[in-house]
Amino acid sequence: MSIVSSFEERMAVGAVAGKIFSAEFERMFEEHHDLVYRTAYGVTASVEDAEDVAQTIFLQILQREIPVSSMENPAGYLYRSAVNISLTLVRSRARRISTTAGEILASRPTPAADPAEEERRKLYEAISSLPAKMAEILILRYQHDFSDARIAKMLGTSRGVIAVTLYRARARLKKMLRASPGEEQ
Amino acid sequence: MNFEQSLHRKMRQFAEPAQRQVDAARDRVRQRLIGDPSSVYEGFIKLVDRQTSIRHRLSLRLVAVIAVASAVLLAQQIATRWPAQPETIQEKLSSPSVAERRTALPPAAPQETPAAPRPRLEFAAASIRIMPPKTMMTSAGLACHGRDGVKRAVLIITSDAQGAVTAPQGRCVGQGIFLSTLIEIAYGVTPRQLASGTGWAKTSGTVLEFGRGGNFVGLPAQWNGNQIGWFSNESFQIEAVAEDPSTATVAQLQQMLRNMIEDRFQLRFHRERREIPGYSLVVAEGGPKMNPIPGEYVESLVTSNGKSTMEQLARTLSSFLLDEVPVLDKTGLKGAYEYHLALWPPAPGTGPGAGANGGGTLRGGGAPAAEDRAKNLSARMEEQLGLRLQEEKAISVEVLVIDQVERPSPN
Repeated sequence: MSIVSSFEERMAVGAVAGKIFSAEFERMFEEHHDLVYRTAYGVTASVEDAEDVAQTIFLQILQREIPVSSMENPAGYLYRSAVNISLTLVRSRARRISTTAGEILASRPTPAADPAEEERRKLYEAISSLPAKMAEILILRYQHDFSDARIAKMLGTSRGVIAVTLYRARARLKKMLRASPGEEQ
Repeated sequence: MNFEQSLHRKMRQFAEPAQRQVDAARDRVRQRLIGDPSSVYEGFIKLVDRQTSIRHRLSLRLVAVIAVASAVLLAQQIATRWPAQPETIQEKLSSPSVAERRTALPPAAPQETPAAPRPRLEFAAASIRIMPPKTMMTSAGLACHGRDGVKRAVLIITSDAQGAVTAPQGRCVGQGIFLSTLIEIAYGVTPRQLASGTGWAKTSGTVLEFGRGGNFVGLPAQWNGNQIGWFSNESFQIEAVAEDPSTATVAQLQQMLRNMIEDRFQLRFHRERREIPGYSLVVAEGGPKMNPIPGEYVESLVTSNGKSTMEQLARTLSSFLLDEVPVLDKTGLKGAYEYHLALWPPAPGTGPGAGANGGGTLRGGGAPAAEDRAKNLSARMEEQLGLRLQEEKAISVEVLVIDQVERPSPN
């Protein structure tokens, strides 16, 4: 890294303290951060968790020094990472609830939670147990409202595969959620 | 409602956060990535911790099953705390954001009574080694890592050692730093607010590149591609650890540094007001082109996507971009504004390379001098924000004047 290019890079990102972003990383961050954040926020329903997910994903790229130009499909990679890390968080929360000081409190009445939020939480817990590919497609379809064609393009597959995967994912989810009280059939 | 509709409704519930929320998150994530390496890792560690905590909780569960007798007591204890435990999503969202929590000032220390003697804060151990001129290194700077954050001065980081100016918690660690840098960190002053001192204790010379906290300061150095060495200045390698690394705050580490400098370097100084040249931030002809922010906002000091008062913008310009040259806010604009300031490419004749080919002033290794950066900044701000920088011959600032300083006593 030459002296001048370092200077240029700093100027390009607004000369903030400490670390140097390459202009290419900065462009990728600007372009894809929002999709990563929105995905994580939609899944975790938490501002803090969504920011942590976004930070973790971009940090991993910085740490591994993956050249952005070598990433064939940055949007797809970042989106998949966002879904997988967010669902891992959802899963860990579910486990935490079931193991926290846990059975001692089981006899206590659960505090009144927002029923809609409770349903949503159960749904994402169920999604988190689906195969990653199904979860990725489901979230793009129902959370982001992407068309099958757009999902296929983003994930580098065909519309047919998307339609079939969505059908199977819905069927699995329905089966999983059938036992849940209050779930619409 | 069929299953698909139900699925869609539930999954859309948090699907569209307000653009303002997304913008604020983007700024915060960027700052956390660019800024302090310890905060950079915070999110990752937090995520890892959540995973490990599952195992921890599993063992808790086993303990709970075995210790039946204590379960009742535990249940009672939890029962008393129950109402405060669960945080609903709504509560969580309405609470301060991560960045707001992180930037919030620590609670004020309890007032000490006059009778209570204040213990002298000192490092449990401190090593100061002189690095002779031309000692080559991949980074130069100092970091003090307290439990509440990191105070850091970065003189230079080569591409081989990004983020290398770090310290474990409860320590101040650095190399290639000048006494003046040490004093700046310890006393919270800028290079422009430090006067006198002998040659070996000062940073002075031609502009090379990089700088502390993102500036471009003048340092006499040699460069071999991967490493850098100061030409003629002695610098220091320092490692100091607090008595209790897990509890020491940044402010306490700074106080320990002050005591260390006064003891080991025999530093004596006084403060006085001086007038030094600088700039004022004024509204350009045609008026401001920024968007006022009504109500509350999350401050962002990244100029490419800034949200701040004009007073804070002036401070940012001074500390990040103008080598601590004082910048006074004379815009007369009240309240906070949202702005986007792109500094690249520089205005014609003001950027790097301009000295060689385009008429700007270049010294040493290639970065433009502060006056050229000011010209570029002013031109860019006028075009994008409707503000400009105006030269001021005399701005009154408090200066720390060194009366006495000696080479450090042996370890």
